[in-house]
Amino acid sequence: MASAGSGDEKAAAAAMITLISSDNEKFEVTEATATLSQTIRHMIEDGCTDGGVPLPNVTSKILARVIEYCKKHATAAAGEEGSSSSFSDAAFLEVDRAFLEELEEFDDAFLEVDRATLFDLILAANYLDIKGLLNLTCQKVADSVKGKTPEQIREMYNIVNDLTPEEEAEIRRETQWAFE
Amino acid sequence: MAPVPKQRLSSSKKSRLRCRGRHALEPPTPPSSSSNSRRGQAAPRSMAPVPELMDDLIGEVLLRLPPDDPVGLINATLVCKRWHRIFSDPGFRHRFRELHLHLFPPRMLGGFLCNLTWVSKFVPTSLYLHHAEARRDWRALDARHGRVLLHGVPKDAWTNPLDSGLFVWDPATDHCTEVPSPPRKAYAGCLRTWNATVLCAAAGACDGRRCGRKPFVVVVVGSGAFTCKYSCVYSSSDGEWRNRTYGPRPGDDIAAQWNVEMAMPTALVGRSLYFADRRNKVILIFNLDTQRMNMIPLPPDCHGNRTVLMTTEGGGRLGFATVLLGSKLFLVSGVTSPDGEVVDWDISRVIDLDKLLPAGAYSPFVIGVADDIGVIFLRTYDGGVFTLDLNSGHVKKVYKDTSVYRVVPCVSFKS
Repeated sequence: MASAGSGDEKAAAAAMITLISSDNEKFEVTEATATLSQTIRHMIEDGCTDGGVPLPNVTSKILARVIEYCKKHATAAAGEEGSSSSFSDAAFLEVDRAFLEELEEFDDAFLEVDRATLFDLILAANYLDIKGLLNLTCQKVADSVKGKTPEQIREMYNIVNDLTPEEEAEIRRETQWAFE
Repeated sequence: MAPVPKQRLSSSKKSRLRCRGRHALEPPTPPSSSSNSRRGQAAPRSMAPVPELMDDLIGEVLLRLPPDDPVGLINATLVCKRWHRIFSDPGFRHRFRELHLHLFPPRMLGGFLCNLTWVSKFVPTSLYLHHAEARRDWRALDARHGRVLLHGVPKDAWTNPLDSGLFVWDPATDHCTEVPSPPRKAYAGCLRTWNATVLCAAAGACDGRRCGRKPFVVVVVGSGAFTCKYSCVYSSSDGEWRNRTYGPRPGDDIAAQWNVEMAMPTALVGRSLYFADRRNKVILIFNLDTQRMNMIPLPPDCHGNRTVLMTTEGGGRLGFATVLLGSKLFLVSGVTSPDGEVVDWDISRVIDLDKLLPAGAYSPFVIGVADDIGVIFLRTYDGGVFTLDLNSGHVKKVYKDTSVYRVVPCVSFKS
């Protein structure tokens, strides 16, 4: 592990990026944290992050949550790289497992938000292109729809049923196979 | 699990995954106007409106619904026009399948093509082929290892049917390969009866995995005018047809012409391909290596038009399925001599359909077989189409139409 390469990595990880929310709040994050966002990664690669990265679509409240997620998962990513390249014995696999469990707990707690925040997180994850966060948040909404009747889903998300009875009957006819 | 949201979403009119379309009270709002929509809403500060998700993001959510719960997925399509539209998008259905591909079993019934009077209709039976749609004006002839052979419906009765085009379709990828028409001289002008099937070029040495990308062969067998009998074999490797005609043989003790029927199931055992000739009550055998034709008689007590060829014992033996005595399904296997010829028939199973089919489902007959997965398709007098799983004995109604005369099952052949 004590190679020159890992020293460089540490130096790169220590580089700081400033993210600016829509309400002009500034957040200092490490490059390793910021590059979980593909959008920011590309900006860093293009060298256009001097003076901060303005994110006009993300409020400070949401950006703070997104950064919280990225920090945790950036550490996880770094941990995974380290373990896969250098260690393979049981002790370290055990550590890995414990860490993954911790990460899962973090994700569960992270999703304990109201629906508006959850949707804002989806929009931010999409805008910033953070695959893991998009997956996590969309899965959360999908889980909430699971096992619900159309009426329950509409009620939950306040959706107006604009399907005509004929259209509804047609869909049911086409998908008869699933209900038999 | 999710905590109960602190506020009721319905209290804020704009706080919703909005359905675009005909809303009585609500003009469509552009997505960027969320701040405007807040204005004029006397919602308390703590009641932050739920932002609207774009179609793409609704799609991202719907993609993550469990694929083993088709009812849940269909319930989501019934929520509103917008969700239904997202679901119906072929791109979405492809992505859904790709994302969950690993969850589907390697062999399963993905759906089937129902041959109606003139055309075929594709009916999915799982989310694996939920995205597939039958081509318009085509009917299915046969399917094997995930490939379906389609035939263009002739525009009129005088058109030579083989001039209307043959296609090999992979419903999983929706990839379609055109097979050129066989040269006319191959079948001496007029066609009387014919049937065709598709198989892997490596038939006999192929387990069905990843066949979609490998070369295939189309075999057409038929009978023309003037007792001319023929076979045409198309190979996708070189794009060529190889034809052979067979004159009447001295000593033929059956009618001089074959009476193979279009779209009747065929069976492949090793390098031998079997076609039913129900009028002559024989099975024609086409040897893929020698391109020679032979025939064996069907048992005399077997009602010709209700006999469907299949393979038994994991594809190792020729067999057939037939309903006799009103509602008894007989599964019969061929007994072969040491040189591989079928010399006798064994009844391997008799299933009393009266006990399995719902009351009122009279006169069942076999209209298709998915022998790779042990599923028999039955049709009843009232047009009900049922699948019978030979392993579990489970019967399921999958379709209803009195004009269904044949079902071509589409079995998934995942790697």
